Amino acid sequence: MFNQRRVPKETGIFLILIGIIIVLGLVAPAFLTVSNVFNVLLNSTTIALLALGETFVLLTAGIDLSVGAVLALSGVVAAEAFGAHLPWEIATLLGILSGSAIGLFNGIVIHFTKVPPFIATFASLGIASSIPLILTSAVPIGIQNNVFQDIGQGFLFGVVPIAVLILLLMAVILHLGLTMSRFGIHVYATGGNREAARLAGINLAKMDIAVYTISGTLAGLGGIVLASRLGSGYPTAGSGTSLFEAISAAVVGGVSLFGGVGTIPGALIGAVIIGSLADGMNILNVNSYWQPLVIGLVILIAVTIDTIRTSRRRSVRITKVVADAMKPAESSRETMNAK
Amino acid sequence: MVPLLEVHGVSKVYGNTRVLNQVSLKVEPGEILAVLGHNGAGKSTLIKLISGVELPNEGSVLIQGKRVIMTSPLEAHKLGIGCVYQELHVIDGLTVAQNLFLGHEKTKKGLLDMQAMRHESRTLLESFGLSDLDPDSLGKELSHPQKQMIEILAAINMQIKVLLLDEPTSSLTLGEVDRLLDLMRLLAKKGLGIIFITHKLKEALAVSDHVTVLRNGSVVLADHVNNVHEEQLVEYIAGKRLVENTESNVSAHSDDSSEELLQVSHLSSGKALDASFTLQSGQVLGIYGLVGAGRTDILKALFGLEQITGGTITMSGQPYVPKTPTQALAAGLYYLTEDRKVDGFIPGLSVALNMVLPSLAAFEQNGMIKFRQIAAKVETFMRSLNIQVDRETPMANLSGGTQQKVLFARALLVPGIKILMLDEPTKGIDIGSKTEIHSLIRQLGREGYGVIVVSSEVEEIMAVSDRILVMASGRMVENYFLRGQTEEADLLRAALGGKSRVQSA
Repeated sequence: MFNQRRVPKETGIFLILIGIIIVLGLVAPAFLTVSNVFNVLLNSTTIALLALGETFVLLTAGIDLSVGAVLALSGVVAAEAFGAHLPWEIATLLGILSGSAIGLFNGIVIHFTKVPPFIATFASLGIASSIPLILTSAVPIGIQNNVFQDIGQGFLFGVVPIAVLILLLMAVILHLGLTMSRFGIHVYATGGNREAARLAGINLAKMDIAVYTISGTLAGLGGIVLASRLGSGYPTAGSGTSLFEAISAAVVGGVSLFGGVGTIPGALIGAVIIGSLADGMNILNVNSYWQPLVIGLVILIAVTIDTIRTSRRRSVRITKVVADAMKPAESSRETMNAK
Repeated sequence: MVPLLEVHGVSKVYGNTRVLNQVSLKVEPGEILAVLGHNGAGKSTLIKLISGVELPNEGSVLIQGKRVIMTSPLEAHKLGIGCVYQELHVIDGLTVAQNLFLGHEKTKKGLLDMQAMRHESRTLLESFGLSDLDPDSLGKELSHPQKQMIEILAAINMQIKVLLLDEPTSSLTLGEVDRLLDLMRLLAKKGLGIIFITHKLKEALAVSDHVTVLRNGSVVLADHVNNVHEEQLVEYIAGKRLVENTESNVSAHSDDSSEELLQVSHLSSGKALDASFTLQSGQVLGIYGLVGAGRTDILKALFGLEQITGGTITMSGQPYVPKTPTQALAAGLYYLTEDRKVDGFIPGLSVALNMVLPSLAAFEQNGMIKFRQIAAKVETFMRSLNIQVDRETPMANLSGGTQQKVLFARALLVPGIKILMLDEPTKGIDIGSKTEIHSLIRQLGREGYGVIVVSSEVEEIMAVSDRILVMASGRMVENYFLRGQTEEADLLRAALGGKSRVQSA
C-alpha cells in the first residue's frame, strides 16, 4: 500500500521462512512432503488466527493478552451449545461471538477507563479463562458433529485442510481491509501517532473498540478450529503458550510492538515460521523440553531486531517507548491541558 | 589558547545523501558560537556528531587539542560535552535537586545524601540567579522554561566544558528568552564554551561572539559577530535574496463580498476568559500574545478539544457547539497545531496518506480506497504548494517547512473547510520556508478562507494579518482592525499587559 513501486516489506521475513524450510528439508527429508507441509500449516492455524487478530491491536500500539484464554472460552461455549442440541451453525457462531464479546469488553474498558491495555486484557484473560472452568467444572465436553468436526479435521480434495483454507480466507479479507479501506489506514494512523490521528478527525473510541473486537473474534474462530480438532470443548485449551506464540508470530513477521508498523502477510509468515520450527524439531526428535527454549530465542531475536529498528527510525529512546506502553490508552486531554 | 572543542572537516553521509560536508568549527573557553541554518542544513546532524549520537564518516573532533572518538552521548558527557535538546528530559516525579544530581547522586555510607544535594542545589540555583526555584519542587511543577534552566544546570553540575543548546528559545516568551540569554552570558563568563543552535537571528546576534552559517551541509559563513549584520545572515541562510513581498499584497478582498463565518461572544475556556471576536471570509485574523496568554485555548475550544465554560459561538449564523475534532472538521474548521511532531502528523505514514488522512472518505468507493485518485490529487497539491518530495516518502523524513506545507495541503483537501486555525504556523521553520508560508497564508485569505493565526512573533503577526487581536492573561486587550497601521511596539506593550481595553468586534 505504501510503497507499491518497491519490494514488499515481507520479502525479508519470507526469505527467512524459505531458508528455514530448506534447512529443515535437508536435515529431515520427511519435512518437505506434501502431507507434512499441510500438517505444518494446519498446526499453525490456531496460532495464525490469533496472530492476525493481534496484529490489528499491535498496529494501534495496544496489546491483547486475552486471546489465549478466548480459545478455551470459544470451544467450551460451542460445546455447551451442542449439548443444548443447537445446530452446528449456531453453536459455531456462539463460540466465535463469545470471543467477540471479550474483545468488545476489552475495547470499551481500555478506551473509556483509560486502563492500560496490558492490564485491562490481563484482567480479561483471567475472566475468559475462568468462565470455561466454571461452566464445565474443568471436565472437557465432547462434541459429536460431523460438520463441525470437518472444520478442523476435514480436507478438500483429500489433501488441503479446511482449517487452512479458512485461515487463508481470513488473511485475504483482513489484508484487504487493512490496506484498501479507510478503516485500515486509520488503524496505521492511530498507532503511528494517536493524538495526530484524533486531530485529523479519526474516532479513537471506534478504533479501539474495533481492533479489540477483531482480535477477540479471530481468537473465537481460533477456538472453534481448535475445538474441532480436539473433538471437544477443552476448558484449559490455550492456557499454555498460545498467547505468547501468537504475539511472537506477529512480531517475528514484522509487526512492531510500538504500533503503526506491520502487515497481515507478515504476521501469517511469522506464524508459519513458528509452526515450522515446532514441527521441524518434532521431526528431528528434539526433546520437547527444549522446544520452547528454541522458540523463545527466536522470539527474543525478532523482538530485539524490531526494537533496534524502531528506535533507530524514530530515534526514540527505548525507555520512553516502554513508558508510553504503560500509559493509559488516551492521555491526550491531560497532556494537552498540561501545556 | 587551545580551543575547548574543535571540529575539523567532518562529513556525514546517509545512503546517497551527503548531509554534512567538510564542516569545521571551534569553540574557545568563554565563547558563545551561534550555528544558524535552514531546517535540513545539517544542524541536527552536526549536533549528533558532537554529542556522540553518531560518528562522522570523515574528519575529526578534538577536545582541548586531543582527538576523540565518541560512540555514545555518555562518552561525550564524560569528555565534558553536555547537550540540551529541544525536547526536555526533566523527570516529573523527581525533585529539582534529584534532577540536578541525576546519575551522579551524592551518597553517604552508600545511602543518598539528600541534605548535601539539596544544599548544593540551592547554591547552584542561587549562583545563576534562580533562587526562586525550590530544590524540593517536583519536576512536574516546573514551567517549560524552568525545566530548561534545570536541564542546563544539570549539565553544568556534571562539570561539562562545552554546552550545546539546540533551539533553546523556540518555545520561550520574550522575557524568558532574555533570561536564558543572560544565563548563557553568565556561563560563558565562567569559562564554558557554548554552541547555540537557533533560527532566530536577533538572539544569535545579541548573545554570540562568533556565528557559523550552514547551508546544504556546508559552512557558508563563519565570522565574528561584529562583522555580520542581520540582512547578510538571512541571505547566507536562504542562499538567495528574499523578496520583501509582505507589504505589497495587502488583502485584496473587498468587504462586500465577504460573509461572517464565525462569531464568538464572551467565550471562556481554559485560560481564555470572556473572548469576543468575529471572523469574515477572506480575512486573516492574527491573535498575538505571550505563550500562556490563552490564545491556544481559544483555538482548542473552537476545535472541540477544550471544554467551553462560558459564552456562545455561531458559525455562518448557526449556533455551534464543538464537542470533538471530528465534529469541528465536519462543520468546516481545521486546526493546525503548534507542535507538528507531537500531534500534527503520522511519522511512519507516507506524505500522500498524511495529506489525505482526514479526507479519506472522499477517495472511497464501495468501501475500497482509490489510491490512483489519491495520487493524482496529492500530486496536484504538491505542485501548487511547491512540495518537492516523493509522495511515498515517510513524513518523518521531511524538513519542518515541508511537513508544514503538507499539513496545509491536508487542511485544504478536507471538503467544506472554511476556517483555518493556525497555531504558531512557522515555529521551528527556517527563514526561507517561513516567507513561503506567510505568502501562502495571505493567499488563503485572498481565496476566501477565514484564517486565524496565533503567533508569539510580532513580525509574523504583522506580516500576515488583516486584523490583530492582542491577548494578555486570558483576556483580549486590544483589537486592531487595519493592517499596516499598527506598530510593533503597540502590540508588544499590549501583550505585556498594558491597559485592559476589552472591545467586542
